[in-house]
Amino acid sequence: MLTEIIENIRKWLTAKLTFNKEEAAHIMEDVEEQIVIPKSYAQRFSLDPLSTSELIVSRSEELQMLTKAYDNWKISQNPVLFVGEAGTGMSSMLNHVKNQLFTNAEILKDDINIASHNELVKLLLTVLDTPEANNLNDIAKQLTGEAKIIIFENIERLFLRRIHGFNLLKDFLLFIHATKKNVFWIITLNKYSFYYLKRSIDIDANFLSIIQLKSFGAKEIEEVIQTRNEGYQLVFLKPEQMSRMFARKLNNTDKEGRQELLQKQFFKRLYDFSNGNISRSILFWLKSIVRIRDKSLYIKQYQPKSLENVSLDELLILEAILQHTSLSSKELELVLRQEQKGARLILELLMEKGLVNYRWYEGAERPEYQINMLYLKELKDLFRNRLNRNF
Amino acid sequence: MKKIFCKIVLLYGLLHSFTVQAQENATEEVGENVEGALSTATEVLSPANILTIFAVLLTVWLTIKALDFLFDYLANRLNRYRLRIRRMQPVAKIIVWAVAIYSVVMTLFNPEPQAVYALLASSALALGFASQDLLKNIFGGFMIIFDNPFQLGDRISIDGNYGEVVNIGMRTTQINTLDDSIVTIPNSKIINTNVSNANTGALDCMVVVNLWLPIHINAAQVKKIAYEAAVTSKYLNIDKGVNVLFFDTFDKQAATNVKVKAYVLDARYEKAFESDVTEAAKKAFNEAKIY
Repeated sequence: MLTEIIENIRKWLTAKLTFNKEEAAHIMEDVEEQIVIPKSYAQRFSLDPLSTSELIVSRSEELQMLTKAYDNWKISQNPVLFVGEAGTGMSSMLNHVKNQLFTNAEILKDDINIASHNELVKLLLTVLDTPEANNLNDIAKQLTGEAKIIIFENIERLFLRRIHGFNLLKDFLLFIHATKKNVFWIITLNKYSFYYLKRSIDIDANFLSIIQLKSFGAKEIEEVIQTRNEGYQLVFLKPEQMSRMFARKLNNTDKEGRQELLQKQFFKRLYDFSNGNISRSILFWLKSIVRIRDKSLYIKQYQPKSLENVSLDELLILEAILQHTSLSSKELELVLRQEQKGARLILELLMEKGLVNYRWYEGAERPEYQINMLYLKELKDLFRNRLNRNF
Repeated sequence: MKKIFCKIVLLYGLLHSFTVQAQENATEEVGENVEGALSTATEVLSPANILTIFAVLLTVWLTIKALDFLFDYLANRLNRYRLRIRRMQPVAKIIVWAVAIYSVVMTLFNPEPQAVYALLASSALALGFASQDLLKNIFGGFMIIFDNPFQLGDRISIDGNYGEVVNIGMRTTQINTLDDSIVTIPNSKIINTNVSNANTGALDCMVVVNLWLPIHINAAQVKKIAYEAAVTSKYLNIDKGVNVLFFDTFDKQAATNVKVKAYVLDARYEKAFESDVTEAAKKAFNEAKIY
């Protein structure tokens, strides 16, 4: 009896370990075989926010709440806070708000960390008519005239997780309160920054109206992909792994029925992978394209890589990046209280593992490192299991 | 006279014959008993039985090793439930031993109930005298497992030894101290001593960081720095609050003791958190010219 149990455990573990190796090898092949997607097609699947409303997927509930918050502002002058995960279409939705709902609204956005009061004042002066103001107090005093609507995106850019790193954000929150009579502030904040700032500086106490951006449902996600594929014929190929029942179903149907089944199965997997996140859906889609011929696309389910051997130091760095949306190596050094070389070295390792990627933003002195969205879900599981986080 | 002599001789003859008969019977009976006992002993200690016992012992040893491996694997994979998994480890070991001993005894020896009672009673008496300390430790082990004052993975302090409980055995409990030494403590001693448990089955634990500052400080400024030093630490469990408390002491010289109370995300990083907060706060105090 005991021997049998041990033997079964050994078999199970052997199978598990062998599977991982094979899977990793398979992914390596996949990466090598990845086809080059034509630029014209890739543009349809850009991860940048949409500036027009044509491809916007319905956010009627959130927009309704925003309209209500605006009506409330006219009475009680309360700003509104949008909280959402990166890649859920927050910026696209706000572009839509500016185009359709509040056409006179101004959008303020900075892709890199705002480190000083001067930088913040400079940014604010681009939309406020107070040219003589030198600081936030001056702006607040000089701000008169017609009421404005200002959308300030990603206020997590105003803080750095270090001693005195909250000062600018706290001052900005005071500035919002000082100017809320003249300005309807629409603020956005990354979900993970909100989780941290809510517990560290009670940021939620500054907003009576907090709108959590919901993840999209399976239908909406399929719509996002299908809309972008208009004009192309999609051919779904058999996935690498499938259940016996599904294989039997495929064998028992005609060509059209097979395509229907494969498409259904593909979008189910895509939704499971994306968890309602548009960026992750797009990445899954792009990774699944195996061939393009004229206007025909051949699609084979992407097999995601499982995350193994992520050390504690690496996890803590990844968490810090997630809390700030993106960080430069210099900022990471300050956040981790670590020497820059050490932080750079771990970042390089994380890049090799594909867990982070970097981007040079206009005006930035250094590249900004951000989490590779492909692994966001897996990383969240790791944060929960290993860092005891409740994201 | 002659008559009396004859009667005596007759009586002696009868007695002699009875005695001889009794002796012969007794010798026969003892011989039979000894033969029986010898054959039983030979049967019980047969090579097959001995080999079976060894095989069972080997199986038990392998099972326990496999269980250790399985528990380690699960605890590493499911770190969040690490302590719950570890809690089951000693219980599983005891069950394996109990099942193995019961199976061996019942299968190989199949003793009569009276024999079991007699054996238990005599063993208890003999063992009780011979190995009082050992028994105390074993009972101590049972008490620890069932009374649960701590479990594997907890951080406890016993007799000045502070560290993570890495093994709860039948005789001893082992603690891995902060300087990575393994301290082995007899279980009997543990049940008779005060045990301080820092996390009691939870993954996180409270850490108190003591910062010592001059008596004339700007408390508001110091409080902000101390709070932010804790709240920005990568090891903090942000779900639980951070408290900064001030105490003045005048023992050897006047000083302000600032206590930062916060929860570390995993009890394993307790000292790393303490050091991280102290280092960051000291740097900020220096920059603010508080020292």
